[in-house]
Amino acid sequence: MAIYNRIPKKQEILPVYAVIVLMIYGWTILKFNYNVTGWLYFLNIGEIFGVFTYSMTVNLLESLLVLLGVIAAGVVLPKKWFGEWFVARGASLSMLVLGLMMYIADQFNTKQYYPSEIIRWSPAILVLIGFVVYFLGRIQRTRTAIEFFADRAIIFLYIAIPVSLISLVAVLIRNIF
Amino acid sequence: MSNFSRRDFLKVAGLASGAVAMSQMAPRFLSRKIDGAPNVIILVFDAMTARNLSLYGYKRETTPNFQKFAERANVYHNHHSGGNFTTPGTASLLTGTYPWTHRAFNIAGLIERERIDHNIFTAFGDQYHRLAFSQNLLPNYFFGQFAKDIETILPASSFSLIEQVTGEMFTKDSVAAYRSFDNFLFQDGSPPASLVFGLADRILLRSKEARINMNDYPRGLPRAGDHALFFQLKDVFDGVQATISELDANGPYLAYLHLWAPHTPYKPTKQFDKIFQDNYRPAKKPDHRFGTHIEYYKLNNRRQNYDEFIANVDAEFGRLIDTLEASGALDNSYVVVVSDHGESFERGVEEHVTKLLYETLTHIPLLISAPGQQARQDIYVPTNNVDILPTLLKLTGHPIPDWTEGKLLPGFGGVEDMERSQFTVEAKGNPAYAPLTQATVAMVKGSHKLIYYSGYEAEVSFELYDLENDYEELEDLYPSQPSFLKALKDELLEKMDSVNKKVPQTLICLKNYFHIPIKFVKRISSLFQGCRVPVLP
Repeated sequence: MAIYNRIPKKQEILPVYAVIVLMIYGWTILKFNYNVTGWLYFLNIGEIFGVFTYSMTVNLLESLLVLLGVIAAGVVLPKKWFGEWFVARGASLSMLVLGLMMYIADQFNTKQYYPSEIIRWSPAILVLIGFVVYFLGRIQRTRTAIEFFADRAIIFLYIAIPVSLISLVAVLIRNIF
Repeated sequence: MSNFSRRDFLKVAGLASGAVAMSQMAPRFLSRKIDGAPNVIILVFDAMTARNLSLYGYKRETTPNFQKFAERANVYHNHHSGGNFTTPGTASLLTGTYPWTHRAFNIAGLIERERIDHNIFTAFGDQYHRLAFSQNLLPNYFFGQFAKDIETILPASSFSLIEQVTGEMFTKDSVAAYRSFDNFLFQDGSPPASLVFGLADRILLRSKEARINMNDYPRGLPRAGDHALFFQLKDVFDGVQATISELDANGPYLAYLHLWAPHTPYKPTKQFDKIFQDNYRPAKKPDHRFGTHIEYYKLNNRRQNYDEFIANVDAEFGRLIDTLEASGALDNSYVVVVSDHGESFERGVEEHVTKLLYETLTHIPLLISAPGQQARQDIYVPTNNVDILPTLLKLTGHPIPDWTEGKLLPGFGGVEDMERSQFTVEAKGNPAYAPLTQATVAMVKGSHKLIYYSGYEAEVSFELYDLENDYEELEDLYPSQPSFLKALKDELLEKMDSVNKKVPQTLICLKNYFHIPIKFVKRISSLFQGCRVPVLP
């Protein structure tokens, strides 16, 4: 029961999820737009739509997985460290960790290259991110700014979630029938 | 029932799923046997140019086993691919049509949706067990398009040491899944489009790669391009041999087996590494203006690597043929050995991603061994990969469809027609549904080859070579305007005009879009018949 009580409220989870969605979907859509001009040379709209549905479905699963991680942090860590200002800390944690992942992903430019340095340093960077997140939550001005941003990001959920659910259904239908 | 334990449940579930799988497989194997009908095995070696095979007179002894096999086969000395990379080259082989007809000429492109029934698997019919396998993912898009007429599609990752090919898990929607996952979300060689799973996939792949024992491969394990698929040649050939043996027990079959090697990266085993450190220096040719201007010595180094990889492939091929022969698998089989396109190490161009269509890129090997054939037959007239489909259909007693652009191969019922023109088309920068305005087309007629460049510069340009007297294509005859040029040029331009009039207008119309057979979607989409979607510049 105690653990259940430590789970953040829906109103707190939504803005954090919105930030996660913004970053994960934004990354994929950026890459999608980069590719779509080439696809238009030989794919029809239905086929491009097919790639889009798979992408949105994968993004939905990814975003839920990351959200689960943030919520787990809220449950496991002492309330004073993380849960106290869950929106600000959760959103900033998501932004920084996903930002780090974007940086690492961007290093994989060739088939051979492995960014071993940055991956070796990742645990240390994550600890640093932990401290930054803790202090961001303690400073009222940054806290307010992050909460403001996360709150505004909720608008993306109104687009991303229905599109993802429709995509999920489309992917299921394509693979069942 | 209370004694029904977790272990019992697992046993019953395992048996039930096995029974379901067997029930789906059994009718496919049992229903098709026709006594006496010959089998067909098509072995495709990706990016194998005839110009680097000792079988065709190359200076280095790269293919002693192919030469041995040639002693019991028809050897085609002037055989050409339909395109200069996998997509158009393979599509031409599988459909018996040129790229301007099948329209799969962009990288990872697809065969025109209204022509997907025009392929070798459909033409063979269900009296044959039809199996398709390609380590290269690009032909797997076609297999997905032809899926209803292929009983067995082996996953691209079969016989691999390391694999993380995601698309093949979606057997019912493989075309979209390959493109979404392996060509986009998880594609290697650029940052993954999927931030979380894509990054995890990439790190996992690299860590698997780092852990693998590569003692036998001093230059690293061969890999299928950008695909997350590493393999040992030995495993692949063993897998091919096992597949053929398995098929052999179940009546007539058509097996299309498309192997990655000797495609780049050229990574032979240590037995073949550095075996060609000789003084061989091929003819130095001037850089082409559409080339990538790679230096001569670098091209020669890469050529050496390529030759060593070919020698490695040749050894495995010899082992495969010996094993199949010993098992009797070849007694009732036509064996076709071919490639989808060539490979270049000249004029500043490495590999085959290029606008150029010189012989190194288009001249490919073709050997066909008939059941029981003991003598070699050499055929020198120009032939093309589009000819394989009608020839195999005739040899197996099937009618030749009117949609193929190929002719029967000489030696198997075809006539030796030196006046016949055959073509290779490169148009990866041209939209699939638009007339060919940005393209290179090579026309071989008799001993002459006319190359046409369109849409790259302000004006179209031509090159003309006499392949009989100028094997290396060093002297462009076009500026001297020989008397026969006009006839060749008119024929090629007329051909371009005629194929450009047949461009499919409905390729990207909504009526073709939806795989889900919902009536109202069809009804609504029929409103859009004849529409075109603008292409961004």
